[in-house]
Amino acid sequence: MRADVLAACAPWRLALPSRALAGRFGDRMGRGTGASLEFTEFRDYVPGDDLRHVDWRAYARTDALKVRLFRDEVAPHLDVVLDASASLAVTPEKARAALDLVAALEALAAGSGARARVLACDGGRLDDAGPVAFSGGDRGTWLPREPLRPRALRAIVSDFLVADDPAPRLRALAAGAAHVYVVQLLDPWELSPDLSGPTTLVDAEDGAHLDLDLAERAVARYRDRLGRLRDDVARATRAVAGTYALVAAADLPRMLAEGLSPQGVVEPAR
Amino acid sequence: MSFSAPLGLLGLLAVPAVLLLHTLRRRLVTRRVAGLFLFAPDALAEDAGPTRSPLLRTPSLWLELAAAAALGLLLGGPRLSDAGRAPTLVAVLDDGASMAAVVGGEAAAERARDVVRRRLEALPSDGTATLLVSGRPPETLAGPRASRAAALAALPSWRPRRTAHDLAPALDLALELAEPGASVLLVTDRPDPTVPDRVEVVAVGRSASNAAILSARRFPSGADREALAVDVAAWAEGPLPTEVVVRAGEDATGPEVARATVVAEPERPARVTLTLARRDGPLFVALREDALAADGAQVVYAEPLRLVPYAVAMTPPHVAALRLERLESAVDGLVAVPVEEAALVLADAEGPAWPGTTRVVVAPWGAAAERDDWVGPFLLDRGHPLVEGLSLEGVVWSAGRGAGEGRGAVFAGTQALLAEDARDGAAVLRVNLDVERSTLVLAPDWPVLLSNVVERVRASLPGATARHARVGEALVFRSARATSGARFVAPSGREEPAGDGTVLVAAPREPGVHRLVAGGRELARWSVAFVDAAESDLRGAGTVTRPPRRAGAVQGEAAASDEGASPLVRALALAVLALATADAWVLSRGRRRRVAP
Repeated sequence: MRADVLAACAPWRLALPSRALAGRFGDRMGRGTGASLEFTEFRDYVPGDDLRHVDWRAYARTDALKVRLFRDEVAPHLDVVLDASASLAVTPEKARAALDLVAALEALAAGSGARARVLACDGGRLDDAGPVAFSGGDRGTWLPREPLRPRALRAIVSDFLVADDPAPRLRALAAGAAHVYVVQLLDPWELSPDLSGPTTLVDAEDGAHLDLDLAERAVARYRDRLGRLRDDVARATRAVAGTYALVAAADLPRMLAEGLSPQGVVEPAR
Repeated sequence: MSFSAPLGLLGLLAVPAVLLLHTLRRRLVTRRVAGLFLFAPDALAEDAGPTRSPLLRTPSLWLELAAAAALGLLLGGPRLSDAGRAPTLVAVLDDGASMAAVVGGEAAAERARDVVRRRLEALPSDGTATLLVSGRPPETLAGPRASRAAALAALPSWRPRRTAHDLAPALDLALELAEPGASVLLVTDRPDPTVPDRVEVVAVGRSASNAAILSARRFPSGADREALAVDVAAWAEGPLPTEVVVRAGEDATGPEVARATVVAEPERPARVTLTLARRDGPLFVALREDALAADGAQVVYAEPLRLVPYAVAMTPPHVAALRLERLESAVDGLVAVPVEEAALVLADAEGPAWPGTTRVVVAPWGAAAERDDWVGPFLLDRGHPLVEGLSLEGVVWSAGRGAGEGRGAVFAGTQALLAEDARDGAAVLRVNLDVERSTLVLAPDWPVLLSNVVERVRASLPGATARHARVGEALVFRSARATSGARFVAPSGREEPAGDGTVLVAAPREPGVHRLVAGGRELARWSVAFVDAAESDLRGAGTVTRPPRRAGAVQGEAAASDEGASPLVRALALAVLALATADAWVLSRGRRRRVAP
């Protein structure tokens, strides 16, 4: 884990949903019964039960072996799904910000005692495959090749700059998750293009060219379309009861403080 | 000058061509972007820009530019007043499936076609039209600026079929394509769409009750019978009785097999279960006299369990101790094959694992003498699919103290008891177990674990992972080796390349039977159902005609006479001729000067 990421993440923690989670033993209350100190109920003893949990006072009174059940403690899993298409590396700053966000999500998960995996949209695992090669375009369903873990947390990091409706893809990615965080990462230029006049725009994914005059009118209409696209992603996220955050590519502390925190993905660590 | 006069535009191309010849090149700032499509609608309007390269302002340049401009005007059919302009129509057709609803014996789509047809016929013979179909992205049915005849010819091919979607992208495109004087028309079945001021709305829907099939599934019921369960939902003011008709085959022409009446209530889907003679072929399930055919019919295939080829590579005592001789009776869908043909190998020692196969190695890890007998607590990685349903209650698990490779899924203290390792496309599941000393095999967890392994292997077998899907859900096909040239074929005949690779995925946009074909051979077939409450609910449909709040043009402008054009055309023709002659003279003079001694 990179030291600068750990330092940037130290003041923060993942804002977890109040819904029940599944995962390894940890410091979050789970759905089932387990070994925490929070008592829930009695049940009859069966072979294999932890003898420490047998209620000996009740046995002395009733001759019935009862065990006390306690709430399970779990640390949630986190599956981070990264859009590794070429559009995420349209500028070095955006690519770096994407990797920083993924590393931060891993660090925040580790801070909660959880295990995180990083998977590529339409691809395999990234966390043990060396450097991420942002390449290719957006095809298919965005579902990683490895199955996503049920009832786990999921975070999707993408710019969602695709012409199709994002809702079906988000529905598929969120299916079975305890909670989904949707992080839409955009380069500052993408949020607010400068008026550079006659410009040839080259698509980062398929190399298509477009000549146009980046004047006030064209930029205003672009902003309008981008706003609609952003609203579509936010609406699709709300439809799967997820948390949506629009983040401008910047250094990690700034993205955490000005992007993820105000939009409810992270919260101050107490 | 516009697309209505393509020759004029072609002629005007001579102007930049002349400039191009007279300048070195245009240099524009180049920038890589991710969302090119967000800029695309501006390309036509914003394209080009001032060149910064120096121009040699010769007489020849001015003469050629003037000649090119005059030629463009000439070919564009110049008119002295706006009265001569041919009127245009830009119509957006709502492509939601509810437009296909038949209420009162007629589909809303048919009424929509009539509306557009009447508008097209009201245009003069030289009028032009653009027909757009809503969606994400919107599609062009005719045009841009197609002739009236071409637009009329394209109209019958429109078949509304999409799930609920936003009309705004299509309306935006329509406004981009519409000239200042053109009419912009939206034809839909909902009476209150939100549209820009310039758009005229004609709603042709009719409110009605509707029932839809939410799901239809088949499963075995006895030796030679099968059950068909159909869930029906209703969008109505009260209980809605409807008849479910089942036919053999993939369409309504097959022989009837069964029928039943079901009464669905609003917000409370009803289920009918029919017991039929078992058959291998498909069944066509449809609601009788249903307003919307798209959501009232489905093809249901028999979905036999895909057999998992497996092999046991163990000594006979181990086979007996692990009770593997009863494996086929404990887990469905297994077939024993030689090791080299097996997708699942159960072994008591490490060995080769080929890509696409799973090897389960049951043996204690580490030195033979070092054993720990664990009675719990066991830690299970609940995110791992192989431990789903395991409790390990009352189990004594005797394990070696060695370290196993792979990701742990079951632990006792810090000792991993079960780990999975994926490498080079093969999976190895290592079970750290001394069979002789453990009670795991006697516990219900053992068949559960084996079943999880088998189901995991079954899901990765070549072929279609499921034969039924809904519109928008993924159709997934796995093949043992990379497939090239495969195509997904939709019920409408629309084809889409499936790409190359071992996992082929498509997202169907229309209901019906979809196929995957390669080299003239069908690889797989899916039934795709239409399930969309927003489109199935026809209660909000209505009829209304709403003029544009801010008129762009009056529909059906008077046809123009060409009388005023002739003198101008003649003058332009003369100008082109004179300019070309002058340019030739200037150039020949220059040439003579250059060759003069």
